[in-house]
Amino acid sequence: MSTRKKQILKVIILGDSGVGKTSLMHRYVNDKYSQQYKATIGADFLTKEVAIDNDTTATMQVWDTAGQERFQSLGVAFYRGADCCVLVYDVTNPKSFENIKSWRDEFLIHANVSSPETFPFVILGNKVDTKDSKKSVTLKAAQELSKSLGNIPLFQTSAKNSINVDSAFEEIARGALEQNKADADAYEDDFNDAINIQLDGEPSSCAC
Amino acid sequence: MEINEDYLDTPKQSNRKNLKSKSSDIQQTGSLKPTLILPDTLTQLNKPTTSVDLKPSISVNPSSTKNTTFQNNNNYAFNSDTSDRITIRSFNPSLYSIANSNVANTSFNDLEFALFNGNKPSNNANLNNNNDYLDNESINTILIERLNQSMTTSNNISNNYHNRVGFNSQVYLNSNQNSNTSSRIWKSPYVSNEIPNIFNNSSNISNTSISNESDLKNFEKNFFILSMTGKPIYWLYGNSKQITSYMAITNMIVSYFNINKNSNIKMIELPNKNIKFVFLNKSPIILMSVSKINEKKFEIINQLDFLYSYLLSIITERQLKKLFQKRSNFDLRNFLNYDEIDSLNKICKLVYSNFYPELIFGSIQTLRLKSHVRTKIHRLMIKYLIKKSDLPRGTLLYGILLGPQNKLISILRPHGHTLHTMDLQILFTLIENKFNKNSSVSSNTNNKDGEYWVPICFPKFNSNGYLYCYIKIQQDLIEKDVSNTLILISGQKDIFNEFQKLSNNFFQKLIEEKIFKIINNFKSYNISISEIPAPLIHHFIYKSRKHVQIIMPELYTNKERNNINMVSANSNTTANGADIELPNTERTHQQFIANDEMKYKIKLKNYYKELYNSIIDEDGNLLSTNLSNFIRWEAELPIYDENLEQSDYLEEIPNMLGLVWVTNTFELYLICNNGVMDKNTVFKSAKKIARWCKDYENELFVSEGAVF
Repeated sequence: MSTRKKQILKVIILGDSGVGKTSLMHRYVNDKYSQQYKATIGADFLTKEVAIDNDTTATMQVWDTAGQERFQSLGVAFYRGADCCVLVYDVTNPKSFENIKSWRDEFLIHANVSSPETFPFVILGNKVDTKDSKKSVTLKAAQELSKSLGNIPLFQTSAKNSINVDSAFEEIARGALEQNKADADAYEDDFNDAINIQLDGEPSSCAC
Repeated sequence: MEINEDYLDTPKQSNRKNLKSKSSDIQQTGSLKPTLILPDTLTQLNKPTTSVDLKPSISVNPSSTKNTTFQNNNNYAFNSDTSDRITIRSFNPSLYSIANSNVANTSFNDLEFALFNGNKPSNNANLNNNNDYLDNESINTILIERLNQSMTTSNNISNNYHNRVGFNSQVYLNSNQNSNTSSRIWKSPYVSNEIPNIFNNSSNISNTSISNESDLKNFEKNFFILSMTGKPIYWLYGNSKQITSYMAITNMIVSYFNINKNSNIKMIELPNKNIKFVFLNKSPIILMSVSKINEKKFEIINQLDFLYSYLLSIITERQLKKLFQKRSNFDLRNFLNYDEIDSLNKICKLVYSNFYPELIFGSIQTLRLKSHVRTKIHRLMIKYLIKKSDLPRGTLLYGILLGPQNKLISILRPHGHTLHTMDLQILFTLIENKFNKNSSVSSNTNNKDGEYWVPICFPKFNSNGYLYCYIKIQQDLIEKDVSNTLILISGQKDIFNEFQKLSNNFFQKLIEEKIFKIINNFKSYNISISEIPAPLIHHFIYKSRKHVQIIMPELYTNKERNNINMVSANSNTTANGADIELPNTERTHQQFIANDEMKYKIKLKNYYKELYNSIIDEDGNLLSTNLSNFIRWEAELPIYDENLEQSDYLEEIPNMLGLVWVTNTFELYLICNNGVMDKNTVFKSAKKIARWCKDYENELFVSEGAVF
């Protein structure tokens, strides 16, 4: 077909309210962090150009969704056509960790991805900068979860101290790009529809 | 497409009987009697009803007031509004009705819900109670900020439109009264054959796009195509980074209405900023256009539909659906190559910043040709493309011959089958943009000849598959700047060679019969306003409703251009045929002519658009097949542009009169010379034009074509 353009990768960030989705995104895109908590209303969209493995560049379209339940009605519109899904929990909040699986299921139900087994997810355990005494989700538990869900890549991050954020997003971009590429390749030979014409069929209506 | 009729305050027909003027000196043939509508009462009239009065009437049209900038549309309720309100129009009747002044906030809440809440309120009262956690601040941050900030050019817009406030289209009831009014401004009316430009804003389009960065908000008009997943597919202006986020928001808004309201949002309007966002949801893709240049909703939808059809001509609807069904994250841009993007760009620019009357009037342009010549061409088509061909019947479906400027000469078609107007528009535009590479004025008279074999999907014919088109472009041997195009259309994809043979035979015959000499002769196809005894008329467009075809006099600049091209064609080719470079001055001169021509075209387009807008409803349907309408554009005072102060010349004071006349059989749009006051004479001229077009119908329009 044609020359390949810079890919646009749709990345969805999911997770409970307050786990730091927006902070992670801002740390990654703008390299900024704000102490203040402000709930995301609906969704936020950010765009970042990414270079992957030094030879490919892509445009990442990050959809930062609202964790609060009342904003979830548009799930289908959010999730549809995603190239990668990021699941975020708070290492100090066991509830948010327990919910990772249900966020993943919710995504798979709504997103209607063609092969759920190979769809790229990434799990981020955020707020690792907090004191160990406050951490209630162990790394081991997280590793077990990621393994049970099909070896999902796992990162321990801190948006506040900028720990692991870049490498996590690099992994996200790589997964998304692979997913996207596979799609493009799969349908390149589809352009061959001729119309079967029968001349004495129904007349169409237009004057010339 | 449902509309709340109450919302239309179209003044055209109802109560007309009561408003008939007693005295009118315009005499018309047959039962034609002019009727005048007083402008003061217009705003009170509501609901178009089938009028008892079937006589054509001259209704005066408040086509412009100071604030509405020439549009007699239904937005009065909002124009006085100074706040940042978003008005939502949708074909969902319940949403449509909310586009009335005081409930505008309700519709605003719909958008709030689109982005902030999922629960659909059972009624408006509930809605207001439910959203207590929402304050204006969040509305501003999310919506206004995003849509608006990315789209608004600080204060430039309002300045732009202030220019237009100086103009006020006034309406005269009859010649007696109008002399009173006009004497205030024009002591002695004079008539000029130059027409002034009164639409300052839209002539600046090219400047804006050149002088500014790629920031979205700097563009007065933009087009976007995105997928239902929010991935950008195509955009006219802007940088990809900004577009990528912007498309996600657009997708959210469209999705909300789709999912929660089960309806398609059509338009968001910010009246006091003069911005319209118009959406066309063609799942799995969405088209959107942002307009700050005073276009009407239906007009923009029409543009988007044209753009969509053009896209379908490249990728069929079935392919689109299939691709996105299998993988919704599909990135369609991979299937659009540079050429296709380039022609999409051209299409976008064509529909909003160029004069493309075919789209405005939903017609195609035909080439004037003596009817016996056209009949002869038809005969030759049947003979050499069908009868003398050894291909099985049904192999060749359509044959189309185009003359200079891609105007239709003849069409060969099977009995009972025709091609849809928009399909033909798409085909001709495609040929013009993609294959007729040297069509621009600045290029030299290089050879344009070419043969192409292209699969094209004709969306209105069948949006699910391709037809295969053999396209032959041949430059005229004498008139170097003119070329002819033959298109042969088939459902079979491997008969290029056969078609090539057919077309060679056919062209050979045309040459033998000296047909090209006639069809490419400017004198033969030119329609000149001066050959019709229609005084005071500057230019007109006549649409034959039966044929869905339009004709108009050649723009005078075309002729000039022809002459220039002829000169350069003769002078810059040496004896052995090699091209030599044009001297710089020559080239500048050509460039100058081209610019001049473009300016002139845009001027004309704006006048015609206003005329057309005055006879159609909100959705672009004709209000009646029996009406006539005068519009006057005038300046209250000469406008002094600060930037031009040092220049000595003063522009002519605009005092333009236009007429639109619609009957069952034709639509006539005409523009008078500047300064014309005498409506009686204008209407007489209009009748003469209509008569002339009727008399020469066989010469002007292609009626049956060559049918086999």
